[in-house]
Amino acid sequence: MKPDRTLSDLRTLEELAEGNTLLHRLHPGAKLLAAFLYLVCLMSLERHALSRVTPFLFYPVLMGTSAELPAGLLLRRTVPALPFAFFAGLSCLVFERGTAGMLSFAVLMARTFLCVSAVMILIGTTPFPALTGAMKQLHVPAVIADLLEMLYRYLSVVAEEAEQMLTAFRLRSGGRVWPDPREYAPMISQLFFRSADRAERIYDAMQCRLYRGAGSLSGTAGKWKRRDYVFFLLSGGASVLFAAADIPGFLGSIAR
Amino acid sequence: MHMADALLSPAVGAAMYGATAAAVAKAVKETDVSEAGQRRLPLMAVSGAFVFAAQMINFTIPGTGSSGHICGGILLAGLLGGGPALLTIASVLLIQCLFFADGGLLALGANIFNMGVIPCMIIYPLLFRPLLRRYGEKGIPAVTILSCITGLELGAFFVVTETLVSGITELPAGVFLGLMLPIHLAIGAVEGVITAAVFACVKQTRPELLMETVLGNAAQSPAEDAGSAAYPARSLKKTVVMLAVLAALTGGGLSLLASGYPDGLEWSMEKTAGTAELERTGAVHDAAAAFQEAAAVFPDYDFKDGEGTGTSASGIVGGLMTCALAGAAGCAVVLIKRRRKAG
Repeated sequence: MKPDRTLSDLRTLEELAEGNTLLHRLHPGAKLLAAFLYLVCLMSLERHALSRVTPFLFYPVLMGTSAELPAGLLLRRTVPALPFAFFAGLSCLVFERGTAGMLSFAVLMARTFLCVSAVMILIGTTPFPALTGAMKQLHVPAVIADLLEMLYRYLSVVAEEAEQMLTAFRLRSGGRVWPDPREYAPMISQLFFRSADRAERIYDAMQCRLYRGAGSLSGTAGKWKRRDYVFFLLSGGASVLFAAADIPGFLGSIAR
Repeated sequence: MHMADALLSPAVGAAMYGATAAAVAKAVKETDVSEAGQRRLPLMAVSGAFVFAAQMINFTIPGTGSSGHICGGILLAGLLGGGPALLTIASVLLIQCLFFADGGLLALGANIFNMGVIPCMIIYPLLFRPLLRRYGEKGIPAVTILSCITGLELGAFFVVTETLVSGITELPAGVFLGLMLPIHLAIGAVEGVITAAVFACVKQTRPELLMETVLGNAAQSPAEDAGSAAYPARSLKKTVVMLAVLAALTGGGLSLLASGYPDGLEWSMEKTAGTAELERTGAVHDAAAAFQEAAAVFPDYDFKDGEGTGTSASGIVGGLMTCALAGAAGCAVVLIKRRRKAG
């Protein structure tokens, strides 16, 4: 994972989360709980039930298109998770022979793709401060919510300091591109100190702007509206229905 | 060591969430959230960003569905203390899960337990601090390396346990452990060396950052250790005995899950006896064959009743129809939105 590409995708997701579709206007708590329920229902399926995984496609397709999220970005963000599932699936092919092994492999890959898509859609439709606010409403301690926000912001602080140090090294090292291994420890320590000092200055600036400890940084998510309840009931109900009933089997039997 | 959602059952995920929630609640109590304590929040956040960057360097461990990378738990615990370190690691893992699909949302509890609770709330107070008190500042490098290795090995062990108990993969326990433990032993050694080097640099330039944790413990002798309210003095001997008992219990329990079917058997028999299957002779062989036939879940590489939930014709047709319906629904939404924007 390249740092500059990582931060670029982070910023793209941040911009997408500021959209103005119906999904963006939903309460973050409703979206978070709906995503959770979706994951639980998807993972409750039997591991050879490939056809029963297919109805779960509705969630990412409908949510992604409704929220106008770029399909390419969603696919790109799901790719990093697939190699791990692929190699785990290989063990199914090796140790669980024949059709059963192939089905386990396919279900594993499908589940991984759907799980990651659900999380990406949640992030792509919910600004991070709103998400931490929803966490506080769900009684996550305020110190964790604020630590999350500050950590999220300081990722770019560390990246910028690292870039500056690397540039300074390259300008002073007489043509070397990367430091020697024995120089890693001092450089990493210096990077940490510089980032920590800059983080403290940012924190002091926040305090000058009336930041007063846990609770004042994260926004409050407000109360649920009727549309939030409707969304949660519809998406949650659909997830439970797909997990409980063999809808593809029913459709297939009608078709035959 | 990040586990994906697809490798964990809801029951195991919920159980790990429960265990992690209890540990996080304890960590929140240990974290000073007063106005003076708030000054440490930027340090916690920056340390977390650091560990986040370090964890980006990872590689896939074949066959396991897990990844190998530096954890950073002992580094954070050494800089911040056990409780704040756990909160920081939990934040890092949550951001990795949400934004980078590194570890699943359902598996987040398990990931925080394996990479946060174990090094910060178990290894740090039970191994790192007692050993530092015994061996002083000179022991910092060795104690750090040992703690990192132990933390990662325990974490890898729990990954294997959680995956096997979930019943998602058919990988035998022995093979799974054989893949995970040696790799994480090497990773733990590397992480230990890096962590010890960072401690040494921090001790030289900014020792005040380590005063409450690493240096504070190294300076205390067992006789002088008053035992703070958050970290009461513990006997190293008792700790080792407890860990040994835990290892024996879990190892004995896990042996029940170990596979007894070597894949190379038929190959070996083919080479030595000229046939993959021995002819059955006698009552004992007949009884064994009858038992195998009764117990075989997938005789002739098919489901026992001839119809599996995924292989029946109805299931295939229905699955394809569902996919088509989902695609059609998505196209309909896009068309409707375009017409609204145009109109």
